[in-house]
Amino acid sequence: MGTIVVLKFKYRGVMDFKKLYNSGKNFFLDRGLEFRETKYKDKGNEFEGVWSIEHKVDMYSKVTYDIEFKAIDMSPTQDGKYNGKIVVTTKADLEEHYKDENVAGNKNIFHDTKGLSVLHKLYKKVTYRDIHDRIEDDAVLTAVNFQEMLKSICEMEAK
Amino acid sequence: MAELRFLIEDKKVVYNGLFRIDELYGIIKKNLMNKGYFIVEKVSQEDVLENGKQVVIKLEPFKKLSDYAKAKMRITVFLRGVKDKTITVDGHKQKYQQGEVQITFFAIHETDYRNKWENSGLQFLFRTLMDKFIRHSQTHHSEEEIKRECNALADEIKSYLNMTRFKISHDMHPRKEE
Repeated sequence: MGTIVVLKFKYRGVMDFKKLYNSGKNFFLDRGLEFRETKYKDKGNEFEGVWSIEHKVDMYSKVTYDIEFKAIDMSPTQDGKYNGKIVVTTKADLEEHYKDENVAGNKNIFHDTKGLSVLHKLYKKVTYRDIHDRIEDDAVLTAVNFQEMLKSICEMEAK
Repeated sequence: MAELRFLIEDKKVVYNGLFRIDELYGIIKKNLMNKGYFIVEKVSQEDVLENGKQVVIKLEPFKKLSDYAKAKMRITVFLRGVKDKTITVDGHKQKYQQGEVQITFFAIHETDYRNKWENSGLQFLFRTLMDKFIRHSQTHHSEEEIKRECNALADEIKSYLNMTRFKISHDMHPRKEE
């Protein structure tokens, strides 16, 4: 598994935390990606959460976005918003030749026994390079667009 | 497993003012049907709130380009704070709606939507070779067409909303003829 990109977003000020949280979730749901919230902690003035989003590009490549957010020193304001600090880390990883748990029998698309099979070698040599570059570019764009969306929500509140 | 390629992501048309919901919806429907899309309405939700109506409509129109590729769009129409208003246009009273309009567009190129080419490693490899060496220009052409169609729809909606704003403001403040 290779890391494609890691991005960090930090903001301190007034924020509509509920809107931020829901918009973040909907960003990935609108793209039809498998969304899982693996951790959520509410300590009153601190919120912590971890999301894991899977994008199965095809039967060979899978991109996983790991989003960690941490909100600290959060104090509620009069209009239902919060004043505090938030840090969001977005990480995109690419997994090649992944095991699809939804498939019966052999879970990898290529049946490798000792080393790579002939088909697998052919795939990697002839076509995969272009696909790999495209997948990486799309993953970086998605991560950047996600961060930009968070920024635009926070900047709206800053105004 | 079908492969989805997002060609346009999160393209937004935002407007605040007077419009007609039936005309807006009619424009979207007519535009898509003229281009051969089959319209699927996934969500249609209307809530009456204190500050006006809130309407969410999610459309997923699609068009089969071949037995291998499909053009798809995801359109979300979000109307907020919508209130009915009666306006005089060309001397006649007409019912309009006033509020915030936000329309989001996604344009998608879907391939192997029948999942015929991923049952084995050989089929998968054959498909990628076909995509790379034989279908490349055809795929590129289809993708450009889908982007064009989505942008044309967004532009048509924009010009309708701007024309509505102009038509109503023109009627409310007619020019004095010298």
